This record gives sequence, C-alpha cells and structure tokens, in this order.
Amino acid sequence: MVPGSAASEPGFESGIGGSPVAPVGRGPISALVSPVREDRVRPSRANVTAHHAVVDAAHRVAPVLPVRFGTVMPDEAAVGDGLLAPNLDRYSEMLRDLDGKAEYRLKASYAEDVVLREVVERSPAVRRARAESARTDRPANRDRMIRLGELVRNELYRIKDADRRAIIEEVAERVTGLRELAERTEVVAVHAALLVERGRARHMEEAVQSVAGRQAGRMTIELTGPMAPWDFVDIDGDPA
Amino acid sequence: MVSAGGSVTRAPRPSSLADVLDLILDKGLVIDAYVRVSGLGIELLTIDARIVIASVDTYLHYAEAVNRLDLTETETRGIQGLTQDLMHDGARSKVKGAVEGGVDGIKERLGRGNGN
Repeated sequence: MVPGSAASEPGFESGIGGSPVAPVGRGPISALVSPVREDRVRPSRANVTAHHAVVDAAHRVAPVLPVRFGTVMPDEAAVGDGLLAPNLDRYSEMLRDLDGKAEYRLKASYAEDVVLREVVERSPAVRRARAESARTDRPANRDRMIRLGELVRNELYRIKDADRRAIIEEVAERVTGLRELAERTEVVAVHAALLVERGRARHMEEAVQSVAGRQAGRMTIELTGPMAPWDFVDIDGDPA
Repeated sequence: MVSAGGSVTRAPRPSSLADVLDLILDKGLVIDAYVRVSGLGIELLTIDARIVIASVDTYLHYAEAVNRLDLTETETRGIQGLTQDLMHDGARSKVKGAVEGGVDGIKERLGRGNGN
C-alpha cells in the first residue's frame, strides 16, 4: 500500500503470474494489486520475486506498507471498500510514520575457525572432552565426539550471546527501530532489521563500519538496504 | 569471504532467491484471513532452512573442527600457517555445504511450485 499520489508512478514491474500491477485507490491510499486466477498463491520463484520487485519499486518512489506475500482478496471492491476505506486513518498514519525511513538488514557472521579457536581457549571442559575423544577409536568414539561437539556449541553460544548484545547495543543508538531476526545458521552472531531515517543512514553506517573494524578477521559484516520496511509493519491488520 | 580489512559487505537489496525469501516470507502487513499460500505452507519453507544444521551432525562437525584446530596448534607449529590454511578451508567448505543444503531444499520446493 502506498500514498495515492505515488500509485501512478511508472515503473512497477509485473505482479503475480506476470499480470499487470494496477492501483486500487480510496482517498489518500492506494493498494497495488494484480489479478490472480486462483485464490491461493504458490510460493514459486517467479511469484516471490514479483511480490518483492513491486514493493521494492514502490519503496524507491514513496513510503510503502508491504503486505504479506500471498494476500488474496475476492475482488477490487473488497480491496477498496473492505480493506482501504475502513482503515484510511490507520494506514495514513503508518505511512506518515514510515515516510523518509528505510529498513536495513544487518548480519554478522563468524569466521568459524577463529571463533572455534576461542571456544577451545576459553573452555577447560572442551579441552578435556577433546582429549578424551582422541583416546578411543571410532566408531565407539562417536558418543564422545557428540558430547564434545555439544560442549563446543554451548560455549560458542555463550560467546555469541556476549557479541550479539554488544553489537546490538552499539547499533541501536543510531537507529529509529531495531528488531532481531531468527538466525539461519549457527555461525551468525547478529541478524537484525534496522529502521533508519534517510538523513541518519550515514550515522548508522559509521557504527556498523566501526563494528566491522573491530571484528576484522573474526566476523564478516553484511549490510543490505535501504529497503521497504518489511519488519516494521506487523501490527494487527484486521480490516474490521 | 573474510573481510580481512574490516570492511562491510554492502548491497542495496537482496540478490539471491534465498535472501529474498529471508526478507519477505512471514513479513509485511497481515490482513486477517486473506493470506493464502498454496502447497506446503510458507512456514515449512523457512523452518527447513533453520533446522538443517541443528542436529547431531552439527555436534560431530564441531567436534572434528576443534580436534583439527588443536592439532594445528600443538603438533605442527613449524608449518602452522600452511596447515591452518588447509584445515580452515576444509572446515569452511563443510559448513557451506550444510547451509547450501538448506537453501537447495527451498529451491527444490520452489522449483516444484513452478512446475505445477
């Protein structure tokens, strides 16, 4: 959803299933929709990419409220009269709040060999378990190896927790909003969504750069954005 | 991909399908009762990627990785640099394989979705 004034901007790519994207407007708000044949959307590569591309294109010209992938309504009247009309005030306020702001994703991943070396140095239990696992031949050794690995992981999580807190604290001072996200792999120390005012982006990037400088050789720091505020619109969207 | 100089890897938007999925799945404004996704359900797609490493294999991987680290420190000090490089490359490619296994799982499902 975008302000009505932005809905006529050219450049919106085709929507789900290659259908054209057309705005449905009520008052100051427009929803960018495309017709679908079925009432369910497949999470295919083409559909996921198309949904992202439309929101991304909108974000480049105006504030946008990304709607969750796979949201299908019966017809245009349902969008205009059922969704937009009763929620104009709320959506307008959300768009005003998000105007001039963008989401960035921050990810800090360990160089595994470096952090595992720290694990061994910090944990006497890991060193003991390692010595024990070296005494037995495989496959009887498997249980000891699993035990060793579990100890390693537990110590890794302690290191990770301390790093995560420190980095989040440092970056949080420079942003309007911050949400930590689920990690996809264990070597990720920080995965977070940042909401940043356009004029303050450099301020935030300096903090990230400073983290990267301190973590050189130990972590890889990735910063993606500016993007639409995917992680900052998840309030109750009930149209009733 | 080690940022030896402490640089930040910058991208304006997600580049791979896995990154796009990571950005948008389960995200965005929910309009009650209107989110309809066919097939196995989107939660499954994302959970697949998260659980792939959390298993006994993880423990075994860590155990083997720290065992190798200790060897490089205590027994091969003389050629430490070279040995470390070799060992670390091995450890890294293993983790990479596990992670990509998760992403491949997603891609496979997406591929099936496309074909239907």
